[in-house]
Amino acid sequence: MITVLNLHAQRGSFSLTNISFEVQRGSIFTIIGPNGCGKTTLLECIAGLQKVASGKIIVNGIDVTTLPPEKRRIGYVPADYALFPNMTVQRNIWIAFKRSNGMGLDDLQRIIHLLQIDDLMNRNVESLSSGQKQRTAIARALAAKPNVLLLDEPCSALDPPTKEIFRREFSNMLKEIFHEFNIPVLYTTHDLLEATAIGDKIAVMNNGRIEQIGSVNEIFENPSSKFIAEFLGYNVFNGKVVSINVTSIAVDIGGIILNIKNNGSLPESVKDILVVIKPQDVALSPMKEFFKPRWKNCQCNILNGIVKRIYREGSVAKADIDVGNINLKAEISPDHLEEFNIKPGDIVFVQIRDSKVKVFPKVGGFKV
Amino acid sequence: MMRLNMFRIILFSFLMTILIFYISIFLSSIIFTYPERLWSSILSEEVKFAIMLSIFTATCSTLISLIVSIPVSYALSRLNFPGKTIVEGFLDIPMAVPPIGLGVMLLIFFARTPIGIFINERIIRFVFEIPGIILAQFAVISVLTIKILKESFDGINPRYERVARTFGYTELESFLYITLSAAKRNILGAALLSWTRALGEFGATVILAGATRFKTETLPIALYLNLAVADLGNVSALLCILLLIACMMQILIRKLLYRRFVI
Repeated sequence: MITVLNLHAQRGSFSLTNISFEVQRGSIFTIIGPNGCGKTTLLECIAGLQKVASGKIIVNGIDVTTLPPEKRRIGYVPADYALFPNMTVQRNIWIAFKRSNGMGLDDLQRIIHLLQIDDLMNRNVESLSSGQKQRTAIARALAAKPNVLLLDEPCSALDPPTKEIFRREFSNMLKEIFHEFNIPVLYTTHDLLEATAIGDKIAVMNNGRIEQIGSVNEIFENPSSKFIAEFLGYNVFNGKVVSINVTSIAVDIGGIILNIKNNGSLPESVKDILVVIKPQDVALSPMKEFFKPRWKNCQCNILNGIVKRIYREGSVAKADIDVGNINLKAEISPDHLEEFNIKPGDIVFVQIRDSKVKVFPKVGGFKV
Repeated sequence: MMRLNMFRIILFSFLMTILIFYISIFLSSIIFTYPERLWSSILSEEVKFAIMLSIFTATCSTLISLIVSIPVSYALSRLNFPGKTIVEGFLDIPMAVPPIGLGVMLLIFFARTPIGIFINERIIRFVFEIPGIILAQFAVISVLTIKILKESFDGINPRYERVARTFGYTELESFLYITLSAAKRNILGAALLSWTRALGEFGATVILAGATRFKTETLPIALYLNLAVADLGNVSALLCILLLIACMMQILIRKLLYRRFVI
């Protein structure tokens, strides 16, 4: 188990502030955030490669904060894998294995087998593909028998098809390996899909701080800050409460009035609010009828919009819709896109269910 | 097949001119002297002594230079300290000073300064002795070795050492097992370049160690002494040897540094 307590670190003008979390043995803790938010600095602090200003790093009950990297037994796989270029795969792994504490040859053989690099052992690392390099780097880190494993954006060097394979196949394989070796794994990424595929628990980082820690579901359903909502790709608008009653709230966002289900979370006195709508909750239809039959009994906001742009992200299609003065992001399945033949420039009906719109007081309720 | 146009023809013309220039002077110095005496001159005691002394001194100075230059260049590559730029600039100065100037400075140090006199008289005699040749060669080649090795260490990602430390290697062990291993080709290449430069060193050597037959007579000094007495047979033999060694070193250096050898 690894526990990080109130960690502060300085790297030039950038600082890590008050980082605290705990990762149990056998679980994968994903740290997600945009480039430059401090993910690598945090991992380097934990590995002992960066100075820590204050705070504690405790591994299996031992405070390792002041120990040099060679005494911590924390495996680290950097984003570029840092495989020793003048050596074969076997030599790279052997270098780490030589310093392992109690790792048997059978265990090593199992790591090599599980990571499917048996056939690569005599290859020079420079001749490997990025996927093979990734697996070799993970095998090498595991060969040193670490108490914690740190993986810094291990997919950043992969091309999109390999990344897709990683998400579909290797993420499960890695999960099995990490569970089998029963060590906590810290995994950083800036890719949402990757984070959801691999992580048991997710921490969202921004500007040197952890903004939220939770399960994949918690983060996606209840982002705790404006930054997270925007990072997740949600629609976030400044709005004003027009009217409020027991069942609904009418809000004005850039001249558009939206009716929202009142779940009682918004105090009546609050006027300035933030409105959050997930792109997957924005339905598009060329007709003014309900997008899905089961929505018929729901309160639904139906707005007129113009399709500005349609683009693909993986298997889903996304659209930017101009509704009055605001721009809404919508996520549509490629089937619907094809069925309704929606093109840029088309006038569409945008349907948003009242229960799917979340509102937060601009001050206090939602970290801004 | 490369397509030829006027620009490329001009480029090749310049290339051929420079090649012909050097080939002409190399060959003329051998053919138009006394080629019939070439073999007997190579076998002469004086030339054999010069060859042996040159190989011995160049090997010693190269080894000493490597022992000093590896940690120095690694420190310059990896460490940040106040005045680093000044230190780097300072270490480039000996390259800008003519070797004869370096020789004069060394001679003044050992002949005039109390510490230099003490070393020369009580510890190792450098002035007009074989250690003087090694020291003069060292003074000339060490800055070259440092420069080559620093570039080599700069080209090795420091992350390799950092990752090795997470496996349980100390800073020293990471340097020894990872960085030196990655740099071994370049170290060998730097050693060969330095050795070749040391073998041809004349200016600093002649001032500090003098030019005494069968004592401090390295190949360049032998060349100078034989030219002074117009013994062109020995001169052409020495030139042949110097050219042969230079060719062999070029082949080795290219094979090691550029990882290819294509004729």
